[in-house]
Amino acid sequence: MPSDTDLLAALPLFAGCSKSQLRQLLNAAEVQVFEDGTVLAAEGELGSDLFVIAAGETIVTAAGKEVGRLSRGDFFGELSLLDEEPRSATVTGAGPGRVYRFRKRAFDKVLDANPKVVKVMVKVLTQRVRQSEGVATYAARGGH
Amino acid sequence: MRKVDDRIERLRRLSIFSTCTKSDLRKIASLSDRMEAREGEVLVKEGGAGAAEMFIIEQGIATVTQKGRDKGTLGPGDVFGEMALLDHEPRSATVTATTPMTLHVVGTREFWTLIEDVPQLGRRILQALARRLREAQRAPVA
Repeated sequence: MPSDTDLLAALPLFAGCSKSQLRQLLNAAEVQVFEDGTVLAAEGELGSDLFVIAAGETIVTAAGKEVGRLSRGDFFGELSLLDEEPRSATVTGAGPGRVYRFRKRAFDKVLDANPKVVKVMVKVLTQRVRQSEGVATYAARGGH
Repeated sequence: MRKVDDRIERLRRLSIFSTCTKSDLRKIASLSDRMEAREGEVLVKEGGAGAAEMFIIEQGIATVTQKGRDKGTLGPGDVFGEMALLDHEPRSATVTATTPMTLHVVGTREFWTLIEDVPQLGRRILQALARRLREAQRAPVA
C-alpha cells in the first residue's frame, strides 16, 4: 500500500515538493473521510479550508446546478482560502472518498515554505480564470 | 545605490509588501524596472500578444476593460498582467492609466525568482486570481 507521502507526491498540486516538504504538508493536513451525499463545502457559507481529494469523487454545484466533478488529485476551497469570501459553490461527495483538509493558517505556512506549491496554484488558477472568462458574459461590477 | 534605497522605501509603503524584509524588497527592486505612465496610456491591450510582463502599481489609478465593458479600477499595491506572463496566451483585458502612474515591471524569469523568494507576492497574486475567478463564476452565463 502506498504511503500517504507517496499519495501527496502523486498530486499535481504538490509536484516538485521534496520528501520533507511532503511530510510537512501531511502534518499540516487533517484527513476527512466522506460518504455519498456528505457536504464538504456549502455555497454561501464562510470557511477558509482548502481540500485536496485523495480518493473518490465529488460533485460541484452552484445555484443548484451541477457545474463539475472533481476526483483524486483535484483541489477545491482555494478561493475562500485565498480571499476569505463565502464559498462560491457546494461540493458534495459522490460515493465514499477521502480528502486532505488544510486550515488556512497551516496552508499559508506551507505556501510560504514551498514556493513550488504557489507556482502550481498560480498556473492552475490562471487556466481556470481563462476558462471561466471565456464562457461567461459579464455583468458590470465595481472593484476588480 | 541611493536609487535602490529610494525604490525599497516606496515599495515598503505598499500594503502588500508591508511584512517584507528589507532584503525581500531589495530583491523586488533589483528584479523589476520602474516606469512612469502618462494619463491615457494603454499598459496592456486585450488580445495583444502576451509581452511577458507583470505590473505592480506603486502610484496612480488604472481602469480595466474587457470586451468593451468596464471591469473596475486598479490602484497602488494591485498587480496585473500576470496571466499572460504565466501562460503566454494573449492579454485577457485592457488596462489604461487614468492618472499619471508609477509601476514596477517584472519579466517572466524575474517573476519566477520573485515567487520563490518573496511569498507575499505569490500570495497576493493568488488572491487577485481568486477574486477574478470568483467574479467570472458569479457572472451570468449567456
